[in-house]
Amino acid sequence: MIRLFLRDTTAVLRGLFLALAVWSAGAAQAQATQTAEEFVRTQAPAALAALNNSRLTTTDRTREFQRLMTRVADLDRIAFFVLGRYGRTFPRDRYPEYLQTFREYALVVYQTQLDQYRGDAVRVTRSESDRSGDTIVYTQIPSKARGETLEAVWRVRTGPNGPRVIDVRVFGVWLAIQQKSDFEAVINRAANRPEAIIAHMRNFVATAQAERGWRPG
Amino acid sequence: MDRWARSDPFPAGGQRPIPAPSRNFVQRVSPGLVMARRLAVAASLACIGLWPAAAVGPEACAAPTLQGMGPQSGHPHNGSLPDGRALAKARPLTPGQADQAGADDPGGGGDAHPCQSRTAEADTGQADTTQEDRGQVETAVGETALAASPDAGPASSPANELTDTPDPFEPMNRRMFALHMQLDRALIAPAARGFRALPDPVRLSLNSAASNLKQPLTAINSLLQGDGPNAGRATGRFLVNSTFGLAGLFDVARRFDLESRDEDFGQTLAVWGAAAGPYLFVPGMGPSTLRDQTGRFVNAGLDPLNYAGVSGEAAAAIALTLRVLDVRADALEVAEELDATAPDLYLAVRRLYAAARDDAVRNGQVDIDNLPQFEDIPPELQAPPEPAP
Repeated sequence: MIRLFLRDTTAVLRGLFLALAVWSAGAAQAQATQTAEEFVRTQAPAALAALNNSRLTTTDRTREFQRLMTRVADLDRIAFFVLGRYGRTFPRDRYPEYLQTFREYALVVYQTQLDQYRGDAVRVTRSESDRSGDTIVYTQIPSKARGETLEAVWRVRTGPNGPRVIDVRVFGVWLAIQQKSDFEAVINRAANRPEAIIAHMRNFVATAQAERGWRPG
Repeated sequence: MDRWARSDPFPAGGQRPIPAPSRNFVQRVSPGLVMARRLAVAASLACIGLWPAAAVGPEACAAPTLQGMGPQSGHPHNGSLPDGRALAKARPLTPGQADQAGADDPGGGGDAHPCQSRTAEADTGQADTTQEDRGQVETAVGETALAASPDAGPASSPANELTDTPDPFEPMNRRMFALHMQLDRALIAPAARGFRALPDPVRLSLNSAASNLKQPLTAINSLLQGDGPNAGRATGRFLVNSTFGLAGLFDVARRFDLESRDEDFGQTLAVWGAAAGPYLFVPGMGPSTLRDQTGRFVNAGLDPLNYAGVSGEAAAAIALTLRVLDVRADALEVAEELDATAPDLYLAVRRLYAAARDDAVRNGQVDIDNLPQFEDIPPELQAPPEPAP
């Protein structure tokens, strides 16, 4: 009788713990989602507004945008991701050099891509979580430049340093995924030498500096 | 005598008179154009019927490029759109899916699909970009359909670069792409720069008017896709902007939150379950697939403007031209950036097109279960923490 009582009690307690764990996970996920939404709602407009700041010179505007993007985006994580299958075999002694070059390169690319999005406030329409726990935040941005409302989707990962954007989708294309394909193609064409990507990025940044007057921040 | 003179077909010294262009002449020709267009629609519909055999080509082509996307794949998101509508049973891989395919083939060069030619010449050429527009994202990519890098040329592309959409006609497509780039460099890009030089209010009004003329087509295609709300919004937009907005020159409907997503028949076919089919690049029209190219023909048949007489057809042509110029003007910098960064512009445009069309078919809904994973950075590669200021 006592054994039966204990067994039932154990089963009930186990069920309660399980329910509590599920509820906690759900609550934590909901909290992360809210945090990510708030992050995008507040930080993204600041970066986009920098592109629209007519009081700044071209160089200062670029510098301000890049400073804000460095705070918004997890560039180190993106840098590793875009190497794809070559990430783990990248020469360790040249990785810091790659990282530095990538930061400059990515910020120039983001400025190009997001320039069309400069406008008013970023309106968060909804969000959801993917299987890795990242939050996908859907936004609408009324674009003065285009006279229409554009859509951008932000993939946000919340880490020890708080939420950071790890990818952004514009016109249906995820920028980091696109870069990953391009980088793998470049490395593949260079006889699988991952270092080739450093030269590729430097060349691009130099061209941007020469043609558009952009400077890495 | 007078009677003979009136009926003489060559009154001027035996020479056939050259009729001056007139409205009557155009009106006489117009029914022929309409008939030709209807025949094209009929032919397009016939193509749809033949699709499984003719469009995809060798049956094996479907396997590696459409993995996991069929309803039978067992994935809760596969086979249906977020709103419950059926999705194409077979779609090209998105970049994310391509990544996963690449992960399955760490060697990168492994099992190239027979549909994916690796023999294309390095002729991607030079030039800027272009394309026409008829669908929201089609434009976006087309916007990105750009200039070619001088050193471009696929020596050997990794497998995951080529699994975006089946491209059995790659050699021919590359030649068409090079031709298109020349056309863009000579004509479209300069025209787009001129368009951009217009004062913003003028440009926005022209864009708004062009966008307004697309609304009837969007409404029809939304209905065909079972999306009544979007059809209603498109109809409302068209009515409001055509009247209070002075033929669409002013986007009054936006103030009433009457905004619609552009829909075309290519998207309708995808929702109905048609496979994308082989990738096609048409000079002057940009990237496409057999499904989307068929959609373009049918769009012409469905567009009410094309049945509104000569003025309607002219309006449709002008709207398309304006839209192309607007999209191309917005893409000038993006095109340059892609030109500078893409190792093979042809592949980049094809991949972007596949991703953008996928996005359009999904109405912007992210396929979250197929997003690639961002792995944690190995400790030995992590950057040292920045010193405190």
